[in-house]
Amino acid sequence: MVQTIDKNLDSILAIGRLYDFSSKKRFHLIKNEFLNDGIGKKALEINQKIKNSKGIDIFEATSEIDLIEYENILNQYTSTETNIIIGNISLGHEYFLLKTQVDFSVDKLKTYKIAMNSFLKPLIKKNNLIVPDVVNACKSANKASFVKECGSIFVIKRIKVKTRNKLMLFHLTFDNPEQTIENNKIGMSKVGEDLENSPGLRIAMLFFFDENDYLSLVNNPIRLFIRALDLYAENLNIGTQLKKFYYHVLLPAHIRVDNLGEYLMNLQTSGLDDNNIKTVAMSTISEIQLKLKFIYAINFNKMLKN
Amino acid sequence: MKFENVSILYSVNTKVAHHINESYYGKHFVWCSPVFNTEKLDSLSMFKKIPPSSNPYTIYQRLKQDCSNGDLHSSLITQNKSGLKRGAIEMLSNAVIDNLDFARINKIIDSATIEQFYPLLYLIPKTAVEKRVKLVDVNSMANPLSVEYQIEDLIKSEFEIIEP
Repeated sequence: MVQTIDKNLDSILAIGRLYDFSSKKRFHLIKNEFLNDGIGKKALEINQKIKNSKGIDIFEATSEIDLIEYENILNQYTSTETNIIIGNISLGHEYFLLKTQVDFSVDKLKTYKIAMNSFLKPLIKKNNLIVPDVVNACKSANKASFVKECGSIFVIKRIKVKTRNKLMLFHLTFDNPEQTIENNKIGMSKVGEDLENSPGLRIAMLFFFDENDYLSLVNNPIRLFIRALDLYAENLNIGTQLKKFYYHVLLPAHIRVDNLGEYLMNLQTSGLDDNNIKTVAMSTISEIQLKLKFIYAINFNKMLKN
Repeated sequence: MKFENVSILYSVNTKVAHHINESYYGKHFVWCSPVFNTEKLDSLSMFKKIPPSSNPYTIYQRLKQDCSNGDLHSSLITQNKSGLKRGAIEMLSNAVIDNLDFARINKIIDSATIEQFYPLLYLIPKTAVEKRVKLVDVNSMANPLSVEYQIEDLIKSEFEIIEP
C-alpha cells in the first residue's frame, strides 16, 4: 500500500539540495550558496553520513571524479529513501508498456468494428450507460496509444455522466492477432477504406475515473491504465513473484489470483465466478503468433464502489 | 556566428530521459547549444568557448561509446541518472507529480538498462522556442565567455529527434 510521502518529504528535498549543490559545483557555477534552513540542516546530516561511510564531503570535494561519485551515492540514497517512504513498489512490466507505446490515430479508430466482452455490461449499467453508446464513445476517443508488443490499444474518452465529468479508459485487443503484426499499417488512415472489411477490435476491459482526480493524465492512456491497475487490480501470484499484471513470453503458466484460486494463464477473458461474476474479471492477451501473453485481474466490486 | 543568425539549437539527451520527460512531465528540460560541434568552429567564434563537456557532438559520441561498451560505470550515465533524480525531486516538490509517480520514476531510473542511455539528438528550430531560450547567467559561470542555453519547457512538437 502506498503511504504518504509528506511527513518524510524533508529527506527527499534534502537529497535534492545536495544534488543541486554538487551539480553546480561540477559545472563550476559561482552562485553556489548552501541554504542552511531546515532542509539544509537535514542535508548536512546526510552529507555527514556520506562522509563517514564513503569518505567524500560535498564541501571539500573538488575533483569531478569525487563529485560524480558523490552523486552516485546520492542516487543510491534516493532509491533507499523512496523505498522507506513509499515501499518497494513493483514496477513489473509497466516500464515495458510505457517505453514501447506510440500514438495511435483516433481517426483510424473510427474505422474499426468494435465488440465488447459481455462481463463488462454490469459495469456499464452501473454507470448509467448503454452498450452502443459506450462503443461509440470508444470510437470517438480523445486520445489513443498503441503498444505493438502486446497487441493492445489503450484509449481515453472524456464523457459527462449526469453532472460529472468522467474519463473512460478502454483496453482494446485485436480479434485477429495477425492484425497486430501489420504494424506498418497501424494507425495509418486509408482513403476509401471498406468498413465491412475493416479489422475488428474487442473491448477487453473498461475503467471509469472522475476527470477532476486525473487531470494530468487525460492525454496519457498508458499511465491512466497503470493507475487503474494500482486502484483495482488484484495481485497475481506467478511462482515467487507478486504482480498486478503479467507479461509473459512463450511458455504457458498457471497463475494464482489472491484468494480466488489458480487459473491457467491463457484463459480467455471471462468472469471467474458464476455466482459473483462482478468480483474479478480477468483479461488476457494471448497472441499466439507473437508468442506473448499479458494478463491482469480486476476487482469490479472495488471499481463500482468508486 | 551570432545567436541572431542561429536557426537550430542542438541538445543531446538519453532515451530514458526522453521517456520520463514525455510520459510524466509532458515537457522537457534541456541544455542546448547553437552549434553541434564546437571543435569545427574557427577560433574567433563566440561559441568556441563552449566547453567540451557541453559540446553536443562530444556528449553524443561519449554516451554512444559508453553504451556500446556496456560501461555501467560511465560518468556520463551516472550524471544522467543524478540529473533525472534531481529533476524528479523538483517535480515532486512542485507537485507536478505525486509520490507514486516519484517512486515509479526512481524505479525506472534504477532499472533502466544501458541501452536506455543511448543518446538522442534533439534538433530544435529556434523560431519555435526563441522567447523561452534562457542564456545561462554569465555572471554565474566560472568562464564568463562560455555560452550555454536552457529551455525548461520544451514540448514534443517543438523538436525533431535523430537516433543513432
